[in-house]
Amino acid sequence: MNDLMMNISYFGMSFLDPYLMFLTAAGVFFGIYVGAIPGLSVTMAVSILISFTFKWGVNEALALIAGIYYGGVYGGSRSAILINVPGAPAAIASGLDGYPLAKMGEAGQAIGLTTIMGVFGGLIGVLCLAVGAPMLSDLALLFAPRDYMMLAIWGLLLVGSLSGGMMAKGVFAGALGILFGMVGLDPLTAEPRFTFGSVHLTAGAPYVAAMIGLFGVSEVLVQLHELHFPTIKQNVSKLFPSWSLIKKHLPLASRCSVLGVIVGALPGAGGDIAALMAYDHAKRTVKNPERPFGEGAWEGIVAPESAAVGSVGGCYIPMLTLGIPGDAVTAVIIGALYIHGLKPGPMMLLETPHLFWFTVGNLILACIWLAVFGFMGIKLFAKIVEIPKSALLPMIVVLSAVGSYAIENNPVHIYWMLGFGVVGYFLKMYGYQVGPVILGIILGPLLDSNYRRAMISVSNDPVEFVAEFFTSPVSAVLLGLLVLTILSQTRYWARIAGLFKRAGAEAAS
Amino acid sequence: MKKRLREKGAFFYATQGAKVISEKEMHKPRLPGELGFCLALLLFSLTALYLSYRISGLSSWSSAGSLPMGASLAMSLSSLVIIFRELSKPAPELRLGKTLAQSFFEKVFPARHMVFIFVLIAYMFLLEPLGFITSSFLYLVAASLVLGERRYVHMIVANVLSLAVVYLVFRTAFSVVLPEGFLERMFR
Repeated sequence: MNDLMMNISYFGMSFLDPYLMFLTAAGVFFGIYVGAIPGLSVTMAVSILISFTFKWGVNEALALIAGIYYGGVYGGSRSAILINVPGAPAAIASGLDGYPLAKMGEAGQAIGLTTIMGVFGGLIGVLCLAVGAPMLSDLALLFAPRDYMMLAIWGLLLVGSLSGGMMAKGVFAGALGILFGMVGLDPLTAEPRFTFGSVHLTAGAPYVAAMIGLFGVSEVLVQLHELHFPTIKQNVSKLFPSWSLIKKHLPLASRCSVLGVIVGALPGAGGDIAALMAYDHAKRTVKNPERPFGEGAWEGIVAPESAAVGSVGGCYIPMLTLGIPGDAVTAVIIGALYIHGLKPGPMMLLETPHLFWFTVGNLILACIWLAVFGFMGIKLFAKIVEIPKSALLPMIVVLSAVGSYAIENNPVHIYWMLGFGVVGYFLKMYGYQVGPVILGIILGPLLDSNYRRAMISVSNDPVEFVAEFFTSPVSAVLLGLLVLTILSQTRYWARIAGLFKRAGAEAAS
Repeated sequence: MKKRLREKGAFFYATQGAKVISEKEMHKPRLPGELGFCLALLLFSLTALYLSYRISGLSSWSSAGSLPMGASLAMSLSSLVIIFRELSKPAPELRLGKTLAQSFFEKVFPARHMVFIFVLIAYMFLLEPLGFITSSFLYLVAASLVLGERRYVHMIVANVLSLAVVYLVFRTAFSVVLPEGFLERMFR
């Protein structure tokens, strides 16, 4: 009973403390613009902010980051609807029907509907987090080191394969990240790894500088190719959609929010994939939309928006319970938690329940602010989104440079940032993704310690090590998932799926 | 292909969507320098493999070097697969009379990028001696010029205002220690 009261008080903390309230609001407000301006991404903003907020208390930092996360995921769809330029990958699906709606003069209602459905999805996401995380955390206590090892590999494979491109390139990027994560003194034996005799490197590769380089500077360099984007201004009049329109789409929004939570909770898959899958789901299940998909169907904006915002809550689940990031943003947030001396994982809910309940309350607060700011400042918005890139890109570089410098007041980190930025630029240009690199940097040490613990526990006997994957039920399930993921990337998958389909058809007839 | 995607379900979309894209990519010619970059990555992976082997050799299955060796092995193998795939793509399209190097500097790494990075390097080195405000202002002006901004007054006013906001936010909200130059000392 006492525990319950305590948890409720932690839950309400960000509602009662005006400063936390303000930070969350500022985060959401700022995040909407970050998400909406093409060329700025939430990952970029969060990575730069980590280095600025690490002197703050952890609650303040988390409140600001949660706000930006929600605002950013939501904000992308605004520019997708208004100017047909998705501000974030998660908004690509929202633009498919959102922009046609805007052309018909319904931009205001479209934004209103995405706001309501986004907030709805977000609240469902947080609800799933509040219910699901303690359950998963109990389950996670059963996990052996080898299971964590598999979860980490699974997350890396998912982020490498689901977000498009060649699987081999995803594997390369993930392994590269793991390698960076290995730099420094080995935590178990204190042997130096890849330190090249440098004292600086014994503390590990400067991963915040790496994040800023990969998500900030390299993105700026990519954007240099495309300095002008065509914008078409839309008239925004009626903002609040009618109640019947909301009511009609609530069932679809609930289904898509849950879909978003599940996709978000998968290690390595975040809002962009959730939005695309929800759009696909809506297309298949909604039989008679008022207007066809792609020509301004309301369903086409409801589904991706509720799923994308819902996935945020989902992404927090593996992050807080397993210490495994749900997507690139949560990978960066885990980096922030490390800086604050916290170790996300199954023990976090037991040792620091206040942090968990604070986060849940804070995410709900962020959703509420989203509802407030979603209906405000749309006229101003169109102006800000059109900031010329010749002013925006240099400013991002200044923030990135100062962010890297601020970690240790050390200019060496700026060199690291630039190095990672240039390498990241070439990786991006040649079709490699940088998301898996960050996931690898975060997951590398986790993978390392868990693999070796698992190996040591069977006294370095590889046969027994392999056998345990099959004898332990938890491991066997995880191994099955892992094998399925790898199989689905090969051409055998289509053949197996075809076999099942044929068998199903025969059984039906 | 698109129709097939629509008929299959969401799971198919998520798992196979990536592959469909890469199949389409198969027929796109390589970008100039792509093969060279992949070869450089292979070389880097093999070096990393050697360095990982040097950490603790093959002494035990759970030695400090085991995961680094595993990761660099995965990198080497995947680079090999990538190179193999790249070779099956058509060679980069070159415009008449252009060499591969020329087309690399045209499409992938144009002069604007090089100048932009050069200005950034200059900024890095000036940040500490000149202090945050002065060096950032010079950088912003130079970088805007590189990016083709020609409305000088407009640009300078905008840069001064945004720098002032950034400086105040850093000092007050984030209490970040910024490199100090003569301007910062004047304000203190």
